[in-house]
Amino acid sequence: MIQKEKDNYASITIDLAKNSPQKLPPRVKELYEKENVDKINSLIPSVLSALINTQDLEIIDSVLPRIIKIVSEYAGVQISYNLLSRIEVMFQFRKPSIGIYDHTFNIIGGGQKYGCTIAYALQNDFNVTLIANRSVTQQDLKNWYNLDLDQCKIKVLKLPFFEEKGVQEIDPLAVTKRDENPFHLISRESGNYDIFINNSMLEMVYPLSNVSVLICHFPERRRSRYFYADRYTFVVNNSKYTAEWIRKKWKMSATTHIYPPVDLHDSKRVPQKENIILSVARFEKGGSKQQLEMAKAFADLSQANPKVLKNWRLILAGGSVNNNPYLQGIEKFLASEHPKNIDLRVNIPLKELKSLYEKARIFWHFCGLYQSDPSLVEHFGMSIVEAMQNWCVPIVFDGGGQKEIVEQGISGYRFSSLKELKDKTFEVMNDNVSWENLSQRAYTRGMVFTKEVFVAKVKELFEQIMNTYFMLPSNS
Amino acid sequence: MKINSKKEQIKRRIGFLKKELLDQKEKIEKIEKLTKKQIDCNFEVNFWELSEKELDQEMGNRLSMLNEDIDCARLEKITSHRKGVGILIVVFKNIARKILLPFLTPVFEKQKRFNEEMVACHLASFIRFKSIERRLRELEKDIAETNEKQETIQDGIESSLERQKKNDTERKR
Repeated sequence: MIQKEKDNYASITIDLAKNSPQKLPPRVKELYEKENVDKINSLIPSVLSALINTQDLEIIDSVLPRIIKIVSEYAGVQISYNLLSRIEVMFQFRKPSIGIYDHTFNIIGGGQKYGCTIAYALQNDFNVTLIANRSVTQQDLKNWYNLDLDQCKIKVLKLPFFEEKGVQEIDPLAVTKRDENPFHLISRESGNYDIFINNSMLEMVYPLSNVSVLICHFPERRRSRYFYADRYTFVVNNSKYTAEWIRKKWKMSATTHIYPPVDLHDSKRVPQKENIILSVARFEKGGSKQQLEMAKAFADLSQANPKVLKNWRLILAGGSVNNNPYLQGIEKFLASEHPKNIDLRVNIPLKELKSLYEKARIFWHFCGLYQSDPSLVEHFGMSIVEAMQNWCVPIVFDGGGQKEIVEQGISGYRFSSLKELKDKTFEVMNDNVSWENLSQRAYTRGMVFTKEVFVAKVKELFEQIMNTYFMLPSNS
Repeated sequence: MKINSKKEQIKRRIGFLKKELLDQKEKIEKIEKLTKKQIDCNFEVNFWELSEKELDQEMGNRLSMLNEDIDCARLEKITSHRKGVGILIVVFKNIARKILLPFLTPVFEKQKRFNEEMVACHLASFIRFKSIERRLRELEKDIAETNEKQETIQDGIESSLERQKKNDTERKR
């Protein structure tokens, strides 16, 4: 009944635009006074496109500014601005514009790669601007993620709140309930684009564009004073694990699921393998990636099975900041316990990392072990997929996003205790046939998460956005 | 040709209108005014839902807020945004403050001392709590490691018993 009523007043208004355009402004005003503002806002684009399509320039010139004035009066200046932007795109006066925001674009990371790959996927069809808070160049992004983003612009917006504090890192936790929201500056910027993508996980940015997309890598904070995640048109999650926590923490559902892009595969044949167990993970100061536990587990395994293990090596690779107490702890352990065959490779270049992936037979990942905090469990696990794309057999902690990547006993193993890890590792070390089967299936599974798959998914989402929000309505 | 020209003119007209709106947007400070919508909501924190890390953050944030508010005797400068009458209001408030202050200061001082003790007490409890938690974590880890070692030993014993059993049966044959 309500829908019928809505259709009725919508078609009357569109008919007015076609047949009696001078009566349109008072009609729009009347609707704003009687009906829900958001409802009328969604009707106006169809009305304006009918007006533009059917009337002479002179009439458009007289009616359009009056309607815009009424929209500003009832819905706000931003909505009027958005309305005109939408008309521009609908009539193909220009390419649609996209602003992608990430407060950490200047730092290397999986989340940032996600945002940059979205830009890469869309740069030919949209005018894409990357919005950062600290300086970063296209060349930096190319070096870090091997992505050509020549068609994108970069805009740096400094946030006075953090600049005045003189802090290096933009930490949203520094904003208390008493502070003015420093991210309102970004909200204002979002209103200058047709589509705004927030790749920051920062639910403190209120979107002002026609269409908005929040990329959620994990819901780190709960609903509090500046919580606007539910104001976005789309919420994209990177894994089912993240989607589950969006439901638990934010009491809302994500709209679209797109796994992160992983592309560390070069050849389609199994490379020459060596007896290496590899771990690739950042050496976090808090030790959430558990490299020390890995070293201890390998030492235990060597002690229990010296004959087999003497031909094996554990390589712990990953990035680290200077003066990292956790890394120093590992170095101390390696120096004091004298476990043999354990190598540390810190901050190595990508080429060397690729070569390690190619050589390793087994891949370990402990992130999530002994953790009670869900944010410290791997939300997805890009390094696991990188290993699988290089025919490594993954043996990973049974939790978080890792459950979605490694199929138990098919493309690798998941463990819940260190004993289970040691048993599975020993089994894979000793049975070459089993290794070959697992490795082949790990490679096949790893190829489900490639950049090509990601780009196709992103394009599909944006095609849906364009068809829903920026197509000329058929009745106009 | 005519269609193109109409399209061009509309494009220009829209561009002009957008420019005007952009100027208006820049003059509006609050996002609420830009959208004519209330954007902020108050969310109650349900402590029972929070993880350990989140509870730590809550404790830290609230403690630092309490710390900021310790000095309830601190006097803010009296101002008024009203033109003309504003000066009179400021003068009146200053006089009222001077009259009342001698009576209120001892109360405020007492409250300030109480606030200081409360914050210090909370901080001490927090530190104590963290150290107990750290020890508990270490114990949990030790227990897990011991359990694993125990399982390994048990496995070893079981397999050697089985081997022995096998040997015995073979010997009997």
